[in-house]
Amino acid sequence: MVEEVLLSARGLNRFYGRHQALHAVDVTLRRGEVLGFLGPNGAGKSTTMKILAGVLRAHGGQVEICGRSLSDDPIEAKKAVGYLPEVPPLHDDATVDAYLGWCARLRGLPAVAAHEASAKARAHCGLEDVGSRLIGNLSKGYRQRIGLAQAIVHDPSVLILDEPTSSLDPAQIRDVRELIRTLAAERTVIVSTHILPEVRKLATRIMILHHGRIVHDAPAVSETRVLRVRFREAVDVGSLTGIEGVLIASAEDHGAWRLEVDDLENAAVSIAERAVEEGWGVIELQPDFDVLEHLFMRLTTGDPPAGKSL
Amino acid sequence: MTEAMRAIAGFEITRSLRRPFSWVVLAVAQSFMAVLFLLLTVQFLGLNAHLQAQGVTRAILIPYFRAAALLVVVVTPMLTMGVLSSDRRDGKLDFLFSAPISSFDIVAGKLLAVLSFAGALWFLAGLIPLTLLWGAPIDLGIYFTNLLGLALFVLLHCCLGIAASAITRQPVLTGIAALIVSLSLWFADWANRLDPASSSLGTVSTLGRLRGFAIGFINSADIVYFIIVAVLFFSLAVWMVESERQWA
Repeated sequence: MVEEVLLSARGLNRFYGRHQALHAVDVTLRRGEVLGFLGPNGAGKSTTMKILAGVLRAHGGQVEICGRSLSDDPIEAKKAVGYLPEVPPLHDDATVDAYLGWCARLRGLPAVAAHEASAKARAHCGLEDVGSRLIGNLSKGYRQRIGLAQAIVHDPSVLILDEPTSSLDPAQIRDVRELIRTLAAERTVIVSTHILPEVRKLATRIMILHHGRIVHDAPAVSETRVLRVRFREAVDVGSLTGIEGVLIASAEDHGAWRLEVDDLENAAVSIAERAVEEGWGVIELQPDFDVLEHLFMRLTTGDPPAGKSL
Repeated sequence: MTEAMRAIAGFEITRSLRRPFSWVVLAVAQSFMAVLFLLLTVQFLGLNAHLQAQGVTRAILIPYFRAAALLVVVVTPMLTMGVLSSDRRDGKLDFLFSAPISSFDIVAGKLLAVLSFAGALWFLAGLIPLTLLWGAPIDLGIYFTNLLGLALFVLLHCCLGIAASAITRQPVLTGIAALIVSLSLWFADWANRLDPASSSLGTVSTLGRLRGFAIGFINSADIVYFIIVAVLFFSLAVWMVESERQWA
């Protein structure tokens, strides 16, 4: 079943003076999707997220949130958006309860509902014990969680999170990851981060932005379809792609190969059998956990790997 | 008033009350007015026949309210300097932009918070001269016109401070800018005195516009002046905030 489109952006352009920061960026997200939004610093990620959150105006293009145009009906469209900027917008001289209640009221909830929503968001983000504490007295981890709580306090359909796990310890990162997964079941979530393993664990789709242009937009590639192998003897590309189940072979440093395969287990068996037959001497044969990093580097540094590329 | 305006104003007031700076400003301003009132009263009670002939209203009330207006010129930039500029600097304005509220709501909410605080100053400053009622008859008509003039003066300066705060990201710079504009508007009246032909400068002087209120005379042109200038500064602030969304 095709899920409902919750966010649709078409042809987004944005200028800073004469510099064009975004070039016709398109984003379409459906319910249940978690978009891993990647790109080097200065690629235009934050600008794109700010436009999608209604913080900045696009100088070209259209954004629709749950079918409502962000430029024609901004008030209603923004009610469906939760936004966590890179630096959480916290007020140190407010208590956690007062701040979250205020955020809920700003998002259009009446006072009583705002109080309930604030309590629910606190519970979601593990902030039950610090409700009456001043934000300025809390640790970075707590502050990040308060930032996340303000983004979800009004139960938005679209969540835009810029570096949601920065400043968190490993246990908190795991909790936030679980929270985002839970939230994504009924929503759509955009997560921007530089931590590639985080994206790998969370995202159902990957978008890479470079110099303001989308250079990759596709469902997340399963790492269980890429093998990394190394042989004692020299092997050529043709020999590897000739093995049953091997689709693409790319040479890497130190005689290693990255092989995209149709089925991990069957391909591994076929490669091992061929290596024994040919006397290649297998030194390494394992799933490749660097698919995303490889893709990111290739697209953003213009440095394609040797051999046949992915 | 929208829910968003109420929410912003309420939150800002709560935060102000947590800051020692707000209480210090209130205390210093109130102390200044109390000491000034005491000095004027002592001066009146001395054997100065010229002052006594003017009556308590002219000798104490009118100079007291003029000094209160000058205090507003100095204190309002302190209250308004961080209102929008620090939010812009710290990225908190981005958060407000992401909420389903207009730039008008944001500026109006902030203005309401500043007006509440400045309103407390105005109210307390207005209470002090009433102590004269225990010992001397004061002209309550002149008292209320002075109070009205001071209220309009406070409104104009709060809007001016908010507009200055919307222009840059540096609170101190916005405070200085607001103070310079306030003093310029105040002293524009002097140009009129030095050269009566330059009446155009005198018409924009806040001091000149207060003169009628000081002597118990309510001129609708003066009321309209304060309201129009306040609305202009408020509109400038809304426009600057909206520009931030467009061109930041």
